[in-house]
This record gives sequence, C-alpha cells and structure tokens, in this order.
Amino acid sequence: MHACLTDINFSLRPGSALGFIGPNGAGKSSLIKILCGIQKPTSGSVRVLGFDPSKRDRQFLKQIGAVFGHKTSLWWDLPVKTSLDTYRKIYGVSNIDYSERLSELVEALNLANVLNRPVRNLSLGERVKCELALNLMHAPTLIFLDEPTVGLDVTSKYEIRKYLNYKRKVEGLSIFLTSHDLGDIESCCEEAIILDRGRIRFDGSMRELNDELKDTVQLTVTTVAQEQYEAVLEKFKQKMQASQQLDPVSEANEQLVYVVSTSKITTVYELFEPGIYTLEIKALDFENSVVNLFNSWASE
Amino acid sequence: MLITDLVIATGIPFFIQFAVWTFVYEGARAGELPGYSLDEMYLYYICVLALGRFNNAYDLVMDVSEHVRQGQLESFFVKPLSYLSYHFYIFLGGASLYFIPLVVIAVYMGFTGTGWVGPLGFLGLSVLNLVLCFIVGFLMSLAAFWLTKSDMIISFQVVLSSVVGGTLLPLSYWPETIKPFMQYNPFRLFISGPAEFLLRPSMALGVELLLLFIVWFVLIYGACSIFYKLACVRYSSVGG
Repeated sequence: MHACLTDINFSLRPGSALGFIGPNGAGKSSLIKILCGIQKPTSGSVRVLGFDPSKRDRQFLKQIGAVFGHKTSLWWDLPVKTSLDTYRKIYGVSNIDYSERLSELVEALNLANVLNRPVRNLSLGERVKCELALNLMHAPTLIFLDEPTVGLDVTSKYEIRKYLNYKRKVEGLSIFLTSHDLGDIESCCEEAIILDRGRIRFDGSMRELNDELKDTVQLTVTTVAQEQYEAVLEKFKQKMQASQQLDPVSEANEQLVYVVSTSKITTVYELFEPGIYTLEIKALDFENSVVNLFNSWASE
Repeated sequence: MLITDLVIATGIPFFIQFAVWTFVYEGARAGELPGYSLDEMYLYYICVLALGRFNNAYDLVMDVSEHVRQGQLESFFVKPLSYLSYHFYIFLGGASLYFIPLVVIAVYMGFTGTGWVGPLGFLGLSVLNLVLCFIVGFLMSLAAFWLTKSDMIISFQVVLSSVVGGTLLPLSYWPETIKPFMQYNPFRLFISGPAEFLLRPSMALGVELLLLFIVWFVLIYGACSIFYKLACVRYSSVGG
C-alpha cells in the first residue's frame, strides 16, 4: 500500500492562515480532506477545534467551511439565493445574522448581480465566489480552501484574497489554504508548509521561507557556439557536480539552469571558460524559487 | 417530464396490458383464470403503473452514482447534514407529485367500490412503502462505490420492480413454485402489495403486508448502514 502522507505533524494557532505548498501529488488535498473529515488517516491522531474530524460531529462541521475549487455545494439548476437560504436552515443561522452576513458578502465579493441567477449560468469565478459566500455565511471559526482561485481572473482573485484577510483580521477566522497560485499563499498566509511526496519539507513562517529562498539565485549557462554544445555542457555539468555537488534544475538545448546559493557564486564563476559559455544570473521571485525547489526535489 | 411519464411511461404500458388482458379474458371460460375479473385486472394495472411511478428510485440511483463518480460527495461530507436524509427529502419531494394519481384512484374506488377500507389502506401502504422503496434504492445505489457506472444498477432495479414487484403479472398468476418468492420479496410491497389491498382488502393481507414491511425495513436499513460505512471508507481511499 502506498502511503500518501507520512510524518505529518503541525499545529495552527487560532486566527492564523496556513498555506500548503507542493507539487501535484504532494498530498496537499489529501491533507485538507483529512483535516476536514472527508478522509480518515490510517494511523496517527488529528484534532481540529478539539474534535476528531473523521467522526464528522455536527458541532465540528458547523464550525468549519470548506471550499473545493473544482466542486460545488450549490444546486446547479436553482438560483444561488435558494442554495444560500437552504444552507441557512441547515446551519441554523438566524434571519438577522443571515441578512447581515449576506449583505456583507454580496458587497465584498461583488455578488449582487448573481444571487438570483441559476448556478449553471454563472462563470467559474462567480461560482467560486458564491461557494465562498456559502461557506462563510454561517461564520465558521476555520475555513479550508482547496485551490479556491483555480481558473479565476485577477479581479476575482483579488476580491477573494482581500475578503479573507479582512475576515481573519476582524473576526479571527483561521485559514487552511492550498493553491498552485503562490500569489494566494503570499497574499493570505503568514505560515506555510511545503509538502513533497507526502512529507513536510518546510514548516515555518512565510518570512522564514522568503529568507531561505532569497539565499539563492538562478544561474543560466548557455553555450556560445552551437556546434558540439552537448559535449561542452556535459563537461560543465561534471565540473559543477565535482566542485559544488550541484545538478541543473533544468536542461534545455544549449542551456543549463542552476539554482545556486549566493555564497557560492564566486566559486562557481571561476568554473566558467570565457568564449565557451555565457552566463546569466538573476534573483528569483517567490514563485520561481518554489518552482526551482520542486524541480530540485524531483531530481532527488 | 410529467407528460413523458404520463403518456410514454404509464399510458403505453397500460394500453398494452389492456389489449393483452382483454384478449386473454375473451378467450377464457368463466372461472378459468385465477385471481381477478377483467375489470379488477384493469384496475390492478392502473394501480401498479401509478405505484411504479410513485415508488421509483431511478433518480436516486442516478444522483448517488453521479455524486460518487464526480467526487461530489466531499461537498456533502463537510456539511452538517446526513447524506441519507438529504436524499430522502429529495425523494419525498419527487414522489409527492406522483401521489396525486394514487389519491384519484383511491377516491374513485371509495365512491364506486364497496367501502373506504381498501382505498385508505391502499394510500397508507403506499406512503409507508415509499420509505422502503427509498432505502432499497439507496442500498442499490451504494453499488456505485464499487462500479464504474450505474447503468447496471438501474437496469437491475427496473427489472426487479417490473417482474418480482408484480408490474407485469399479479401474484395469483405465477406458478405455485415461484409464488413464495413473489409473495415475500420487498418489491411486492411497493408495487403490487397496495394494489392487492385496494382490490381485496382484508385484515389478513394488511397484517401480512405490515409484517413484511417491518422485516424488510429492519434488514435493508441495517444493510444500508453497514454498506454505507464500507462505501465511505472506500470513497475515502480515493486521493487527489
């Protein structure tokens, strides 16, 4: 049997926002499913808000919200408002609270024009925003967001990120977020966990993660002459491996890309032979740093 | 949908039954055919066709199957609602429209027949057995957790309702060797059982149907609970 998550151990303070980062198949969605009670771990213990999520206690479920970017809890052929009204009753929200929250959500997420339209007639962005509204309408303590901005335009992403940050600051909403759009994580989360093949590779604050990633630069080595580039690059690769124990994160025709620690730049520079290669060094942004990190792990 | 149901799913089968049984009774000598007179036979088919539409778990099986196949169950599992109850209320809502023909039949029989025991028992048994029909349908729909598509379950459900439920042939017309199976299977309860009570109401038949309901309800509800738990574990094993 294949274990999709191993040695996972972490906790989250109330009112914090934790982002899960990882390549496809890293176990992010499985972890979210375990945390919100959809899946039961084969071993270990999970406590969320003091409950065992796998028991799906009603009191626990009333305190959480869960948005899955690819799925919907709204009734496809009915107006959005009908779904919201129905869930109001399921969650036992009073009429006054419902009206107040709905007004706030409609304004913050720009939903005024979609409330009375059938879900099937909404764009993806509108649907996801309605899904978020549905999952925040009962004022949960904790919300799970699994790829909430997949396929959304920049405006919709901005509205969602802004509103989540507002809820966190004002009402102390705790957030678990997975997203392949690292902008979501950067904008909403103060803590991050990086998963790789079911194991935690990083667990700390976003500041720590940024500091760690800033220590590296991207180094692109390109051959000057097109003839015999394979042999030339192979020779360079061997030299890098021998002196720095570094492998390229990507190899294209006539080009090698490395992620190198800034402290090693001088040493690496000495390996270059003028006239044979050109060298480009650039600082990595957060997204590229993470991509390079994933690439380096993939080659392990 | 209602017109399709009334014209195609109900009207045409009734017309075929009408033609077949008129032909059969014309060629038979009085007393030769067991069970019902020709008029009772017409009424029986009106009842079972109406009951067949009322107690129909087709949509239930389709919905559960789609939820499983498309991974939509997750949206239900994180909400404070029971998946079984959710489908039960949807099922009740869907069936409520098809209760009208049953009321019309019962009222007609009440005013033109020998009394109100049959019609009231018919309505009571129909509503009671709606619950049984739901849990039988839900139990069958759970097969979607193990199968790729629901076609086979739906075909199975349609065949069982038609044949062993008594839509095609009343209980008294089956060979003696098969009769016990036809008499005590759960599909009889929500198809031919109420119709039999409407035509020939009796304390013995009422008690038989009620006891049958209790036994099957306990068994099938228990099976539903067990298989639902197994199914959820199986569903949970799907990652990504």
